[in-house]
Order: sequence, then C-alpha cells, then structure tokens
Amino acid sequence: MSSLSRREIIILGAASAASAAPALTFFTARQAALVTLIAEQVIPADEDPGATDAGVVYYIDRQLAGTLSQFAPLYRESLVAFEPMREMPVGAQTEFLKAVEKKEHGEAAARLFNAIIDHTMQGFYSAPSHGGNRGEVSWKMLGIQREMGGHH
Amino acid sequence: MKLPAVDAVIIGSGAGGGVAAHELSRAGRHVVLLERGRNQQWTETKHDELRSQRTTVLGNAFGPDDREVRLVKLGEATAFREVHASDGSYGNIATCVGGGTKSYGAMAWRFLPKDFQMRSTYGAPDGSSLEDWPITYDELESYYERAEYAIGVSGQRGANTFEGARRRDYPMPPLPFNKEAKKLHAAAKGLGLHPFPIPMAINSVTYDGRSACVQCPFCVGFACEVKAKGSTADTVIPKAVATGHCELRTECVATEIMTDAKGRATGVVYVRAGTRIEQPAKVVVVSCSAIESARLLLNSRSKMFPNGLGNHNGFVGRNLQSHAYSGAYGYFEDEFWDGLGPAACIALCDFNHGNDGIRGGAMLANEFIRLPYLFARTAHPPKAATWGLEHKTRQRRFYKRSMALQGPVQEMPVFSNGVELDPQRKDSFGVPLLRMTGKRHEEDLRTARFIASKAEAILKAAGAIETFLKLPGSATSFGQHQAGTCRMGNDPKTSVANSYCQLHSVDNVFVVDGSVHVTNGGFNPSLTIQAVAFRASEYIVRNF
Ligand SMILES: Cc1cc2nc3c(=O)[nH]c(=O)nc-3n(C[C@H](O)[C@H](O)[C@H](O)COP(=O)(O)OP(=O)(O)OC[C@H]3O[C@@H](n4cnc5c(N)ncnc54)[C@H](O)[C@@H]3O)c2cc1C
Repeated sequence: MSSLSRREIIILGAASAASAAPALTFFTARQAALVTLIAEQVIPADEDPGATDAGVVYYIDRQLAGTLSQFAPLYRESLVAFEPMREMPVGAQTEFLKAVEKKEHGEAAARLFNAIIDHTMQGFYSAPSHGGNRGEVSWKMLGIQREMGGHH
Repeated sequence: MKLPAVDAVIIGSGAGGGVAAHELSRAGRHVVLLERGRNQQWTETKHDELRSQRTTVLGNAFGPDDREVRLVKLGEATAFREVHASDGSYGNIATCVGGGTKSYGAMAWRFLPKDFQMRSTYGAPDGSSLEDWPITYDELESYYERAEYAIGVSGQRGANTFEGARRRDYPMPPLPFNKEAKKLHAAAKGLGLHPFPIPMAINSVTYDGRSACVQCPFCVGFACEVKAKGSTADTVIPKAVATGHCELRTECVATEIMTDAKGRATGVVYVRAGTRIEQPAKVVVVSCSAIESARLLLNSRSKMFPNGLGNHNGFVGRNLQSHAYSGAYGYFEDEFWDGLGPAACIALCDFNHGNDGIRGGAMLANEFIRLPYLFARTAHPPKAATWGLEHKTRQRRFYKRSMALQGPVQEMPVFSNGVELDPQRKDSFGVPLLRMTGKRHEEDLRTARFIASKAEAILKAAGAIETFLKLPGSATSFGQHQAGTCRMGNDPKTSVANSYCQLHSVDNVFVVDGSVHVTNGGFNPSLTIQAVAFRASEYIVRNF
C-alpha cells in the first residue's frame, strides 16, 4: 500500500465503503486503484452512483480469478499503459481514454479498454451476487429493483 | 459395456427428441432417451442475467461448456477459426434436458402454408438450393394441434388473419398485452396492418398441472421458476418417464450409430463418465439439433456408408440455415416499461409473404424484456457513446422508454453452407471436430433491409423520436434456429430423409429435429420441429 498516492487511497476507500471491503484476489491494491479510475470513467457518478460506488472493481477482480480468466493476461500485461491516468484530473482522464480508444496508445491498450468497458457494464448492471452493483445501485437508478430482485 | 436391447434409443432430449420419447413410450415401446447435458434446475441459475442463455459472458448457462470447440468460416472469412462454445460464432442452442426449450422464449409458431412451398411460390434464386417441403401445411395441421396441446400454447384463434386453417382453438387464451404492445397495436392498426397476440408456450392459466405465468421478466434465456413455460423438460419428458417405458439417461454423449453388414442400425455407442457403452435398439432416433445430428451421422461410418450414415448423396450436413434477424429499435419520450414478462406479446405477419420482388420475409414481433447489461451493450444506437456520462444518461433515460421490433428473416438455403468433420482434430470423446461454413445469400440481406424498414416505420408511427436499424451481416449465425442439415424430400437423390424423418437409405434411423427442415419459415422453429416429431413418431409406432 505504501506506493499508493493519497488520491488513490481515497478512491479505493470509496470503492470499499459501506460494507467491509472484499479482499482482492487478482489485482494488487495498486492495480485495483487504477482499474477503479478507469471504470469510474466508463460509468461516472452523477446524481446516481457510478462504478466506484457500485464496487465494480471487485466484480472484475473476482471474475479475472475465475470465469473471465482468459482476460487475465491482457489485464496483467496492458494495464501499465493506463498509468499516466493516476495523476490526471478527471477531464484529462476522459481525453486520455478517448485517445486509447482511437488506438493512440497501442492496440493492446485499446483492446484492454474495450474489455474494461464490457466488464464494467457487467459488474454495474448485473446481480450483486457477482461482486458488483453494490446496494443494487444500478437497478435503483433504472427503477427496476423490484423486478430484478425477483420479488415479483 | 453392452446393455440389453431396447425398442428405441432417442439421442437428444430437446424440442424434437422430447416429443418422440413421449409418443413412443406412451405407445408402450421401451425407450432410452440419451442426453448429453444435465437435468438443470431453476435454482442453479435463478434470475441472474449473467447466468442466462442470453449472454454468454460467463459461459453458456445451459451448456455446453467451453471445452467444446468448433472450427468456423463465416461470412467473408477465408480460413477456419477455432471457437469455444460460448463464442457467438459457435452456433449453440443448449445442452441440457429439454435442449433449447429449457431456456427458450417459447414463441410457439405455426409456419404459414406458403412456408412449405417456397420454391414453387418464388423460384430458387441463383446460388440457392431452395426447395418445397414434401408435406403441406394441411398435412401437418393436426400435428401442430397435438404439439400445442402437449406443450400448452396460449393464443387467440383467428387473430392472425394470415394463418392457415386451424381446426381447433388454442388450449389457452392469449397472454395479456403489456403497455408497449398496446402502443404498437394502435400504431400498426393505424398503418392498416394486422397485429395480434403472439402464440406462446407459456401458460396464461393453470394448464396440465402446471402454474399460470407470474409475469416476471425472466423468460427468454432462463428456466421458468414456476414451470409455466412449455419446455419439453417440464411437459412431455416427465410424462414419458412416468409411463415406466422411458429411461432418461443424462450426461451421456452419443458418439456413433452402430450398423450391421446390411447397413441397418443396430444401436448407439455412447460415453458416460469415461466409459464406452453400447445400447442396442431396433430403432434409432437422432434428435441432437441440426448441427450435432449431422455430426453424429457423419461420424457413423461403415463399409456401406463410408461418408456417414444415410449420406449416400453427400447431403448430410448441407443446407445449414438459421434466420437473418432484422428489425429496428425505437426511443420514445414517454415511459411505458411495465416490467411484465414475457414482454414479447404482439406480432404481425403482414410481411411474411407477398412482398414485392422479395422471396418470403419475416414475422415481426416486439422483444422480450431486455435486461440491463444486455440493454447497455446492444440497445444503444450505433453512433452513440459506448461509455461515459452520455452512455449512462441514455441508459437511464431510455431503459423504460424504448422498444424493439424485429423478425426472423427466412434464409435462402445454400448447399455449401454446412458442417463437415475435421480430418484431424477430435474432441475428448474421440469424435472429430466440426468445420462449419456459413455465408448468407444476398437475397437474405435484401429481405432483411426490407423487414427492418417496415419495423422502423411502425415504431415511428408509434411515436418514436429516434430509431435505428438492426441488420444482419453476411456471416450466418447458426445458433438457436439452426436447421436444414438432413433435409426431408421425396427424391432420395436430393434429400436425406423422407417426410416421416426416416433416412432414405437406412429404414430404422430417423432424424427428428430441426435438421429435416427444408426451409425454416419466417418464424422461430420449435413448434414446427415438434409437429413434425409427432408425425414421425406416429409413423414409427405404426411401423416398428
Ligand atoms: C435463448 C433461446 C431462445 C429461444 N426462443 C425460441 C422461441 O421463442 N421460439 C422457438 O420456437 N424457438 C426458440 N428457440 C429455439 C429452440 O429452442 C430450438 O429451435 C429447438 O430447441 C431446437 O430443437 P431440436 O430438437 O432441433 O434441438 P435441441 O432442442 O437443441 O435439442 C438437442 C439436444 O440434443 C442433445 N445432444 C446433442 N448432441 C448429443 C449427443 N451426441 N449425445 C446426446 N445428446 C446430445 C443436446 O444436449 C440437446 O439437449 C430459442 C432458443 C434459445 C437458446
């Protein structure tokens, strides 16, 4: 943890707020902080919670150690391309990711960002039992908590 | 290990195999029903979007798992590519008791009379092996009726003005329209079209000891919690087992059909937990779905049939087809999502036939409930942001203010589309891997554009403020609606089976599933598979 910036500690803190933070199984704390930054760009908080509040990184962490392990090498090898984001203000992060999307930071980074988009959507919108969507925040946002929770 | 002989062994417990098991065992035949998958229970998957047969991001919820591999060459591709079972290009339906019907959406369509006479109605376009079926709608009508009563279909007689003659009413009244359907109904009527409630194998009232639908949003892709959905796993198969004449054996993978010196079938070889087992039988019914049924026949080689059982003319595995789904999405100002399943409840058949300059067409229906992850990934316009605040805002604004109208465009069969055995590679059961080729006929893409434009016009008439089209590409998607690999016909030179699903060249082997479809209609195919299965079963009981 010693190498985490103050900012990252705050971010990870928010990601693990509310309940006790689940333990990480795939990511190091440093990697988790970076993935959290990216995921928050994919689904930012506004008047409704975003990816960080929903604990999306814990969904991704759990799946990479399990069912989505085919993506593990991509994360392991290419996450480093996103390092510059750590100290950027939010607006600059958005611009950085747009450049990543256009492959300006290489093929692998673009591929990883694509995967992170998908995995973030999965973690944010799927059942909390998979590790994300904490407090059913996405279902509350869409107004479908009753139907999705199965209490028909 | 060799087991005592039985009257019939049925391979695959899906839409077709389930019906055959029911009919043969009720007629007193001793039947063994082999199923590769497990008898999956609702509690294993529950109401979990990521554990459904709608998205495969965490694997196929109803099987098979990713140990299964195929080699595919689709669309403009020039080389084969290896794909695992959860890859969209693999061409999966499901692997479990009930096959596709365990997790299907349960639209229960009868094809229209012209769907059985495509060649004589339209003529075959260049590059297509379009043919007529050897049976007509009228010959199949009473078997459709039996299928509707056996699996339980809710619908409204006479509401579809394009439907062929129907002797008997549906066993249940239609499911109610949701708010979306009411909107679409008014719009379609306003355009002079003929919308009606979709016939569904979902109980609108208690039926045959099974509960009525509770209208939860988890139909398509899921097992039904209350068994209101007419899966063969919850209807004909338990009834077959209850006769005492049908033994269901799960996790049994058939690898070969055995034959004698005269070329007649003597039984089936299957593998269970690593053990090779021979099950002798008087009759063999192959119901593994179009792709795997062809594979099993192709792998059953003998002196008499060096190219695979029943494959005297090279037609086994050819003419593989599915549907070119196309349609449109519409976004609206007002909120109408009411969360009531199955949600798909309104359709029209105005564009199945009689479209100027087009061969066939498709039924158009509204969509099943799109769950939030799938909505996020598939229901946004092509140019809209795929991430960031804009995506989230659209998701929030339109989730309850959007609808899709789409239909299964009837594909023109192409002889070179199909499956063959890989000369080298085998799976863990020793069966050669499949190579699968699929490129859509241009005609399909033209028809798809036409159908999509009609869907868009209806959505606009319903008040959509923004619309976009969903169009298929040239790569065939052979998944859920795969058909055609053992086409039926009167001429043994140009077909694999006769109209009773009996192989032309092996009289005690029957293919009872989507494989025998000559063409696949502009509809989801399972009720037609089942009607044909009732007819074939009657013939088997009469003759064996
Ligand atoms: C999500 C989804 C939604 C759908 N919605 C609809 C709908 O609304 N309406 C509709 O009409 N259709 C729908 N379908 C399609 C429908 O399920 C199929 O058309 C139908 O099930 C095909 O029937 P079949 O008998 O050809 O094969 P299947 O039902 O696929 O059955 C084949 C069975 O054979 C088994 N098998 C294969 N190989 C072997 C082997 N070697 N040994 C032993 N067993 C084997 C398989 O495990 C499987 O259980 C849907 C399908 C899915 C997956």
